[in-house]
Amino acid sequence: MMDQNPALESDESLMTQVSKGNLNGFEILVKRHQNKVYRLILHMLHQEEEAWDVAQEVFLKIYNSRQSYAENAKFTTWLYRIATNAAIDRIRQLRRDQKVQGLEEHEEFVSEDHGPQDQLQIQEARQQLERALAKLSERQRGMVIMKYYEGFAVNEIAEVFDCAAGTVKATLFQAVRNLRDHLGQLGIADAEVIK
Amino acid sequence: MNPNESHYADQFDRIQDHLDQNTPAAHIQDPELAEDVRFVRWLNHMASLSNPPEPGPLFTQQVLKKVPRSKRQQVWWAPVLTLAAALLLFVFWPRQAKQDERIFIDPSLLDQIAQNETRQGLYDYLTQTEFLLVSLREPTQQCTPDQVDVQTEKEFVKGLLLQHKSFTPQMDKLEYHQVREFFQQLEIILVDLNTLNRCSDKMELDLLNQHIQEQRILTKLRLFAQEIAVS
Repeated sequence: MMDQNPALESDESLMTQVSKGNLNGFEILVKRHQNKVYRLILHMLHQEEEAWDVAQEVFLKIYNSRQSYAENAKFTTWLYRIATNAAIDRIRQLRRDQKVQGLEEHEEFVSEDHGPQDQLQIQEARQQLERALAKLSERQRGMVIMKYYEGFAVNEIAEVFDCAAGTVKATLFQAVRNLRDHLGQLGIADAEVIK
Repeated sequence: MNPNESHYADQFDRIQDHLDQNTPAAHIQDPELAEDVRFVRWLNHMASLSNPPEPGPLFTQQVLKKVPRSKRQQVWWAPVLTLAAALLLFVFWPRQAKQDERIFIDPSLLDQIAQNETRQGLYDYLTQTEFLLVSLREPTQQCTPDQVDVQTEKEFVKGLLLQHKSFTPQMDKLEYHQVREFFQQLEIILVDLNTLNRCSDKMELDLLNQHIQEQRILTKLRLFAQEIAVS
């Protein structure tokens, strides 16, 4: 019930209210999760505008599917499952339409706490890393981003991808090896970490 | 889990253990494992440097705008309250005006209202332009398989160009100096669109879309609209 401050209510409680038509609850959920959902999708697509559109579609899908939300289901699992599927669909669509950007057009989101020389080095490494990530399967890429960029636990990733924790670990290990092999050949990951 | 998968999962756990214990890679005897640990540390570090922009309040506004209006929560007392407010206005407003004969409004308040209107107008203009540019990416009407019908978009552009003209004098004000250059970019795009034939080659539209994407026009539109909305 909405007898307490709605901003303090759990995601699940708010979603249950949304399924009954409460738009205020939906607004709180969007505000609460938009940053993480947008970031996750942006890391998968590397295109701000596409990521913006896909993230919007994700929340609209959440709203339109509100009737099918199972009351006891964990909201974030449901949300991130929709988000990763939407990002994967968009990657496939972009590939089909051959609209995947060339590397030189990738948008960089490097923190500006480093000097120009370091920035350059980091950007170069990031470009190579993005290129290596793009070579992974969508599933591997999604899991790597959730684990290493967004800090999800293995169990959470397993719930989102609807598979066993062991499968997530095995997929992550294979992904790490693929990335390592690719970047190792270029001598990128051997470079000292810039602090 | 097949034997391979189980082996890979064990390898993952071993890497994770070393990361959790903060073991220096040089202290790990298995060279492959040491490389894996070093690599995952590097990967974590690169991920921590990533600093993507936040979508901000405009994102929420746009999502809520797209939610079908009829589906919004209706409360039984809302129409009653609106009716009551309208009645009260009807009853009291004219009498008070008659008593005073002249209605005095503070000039600073008028300035404030004008400023707010400009801001609201700018915001509407930016969001409508965004809507137009997004719809251009996937035009639905076709003249021939190679040509798209952009008549609707052209009509829309005319309205936007009129709005644009009304803002041009405002752009000389200091507070809008950052937007001025961007507005010029927008004007060029709108004029280009306006000069398109009703049935235009898809390639022509693709080029325009490519320019919009390369210049990150949509991102800039959203950022400026967001800034205006919160200012």
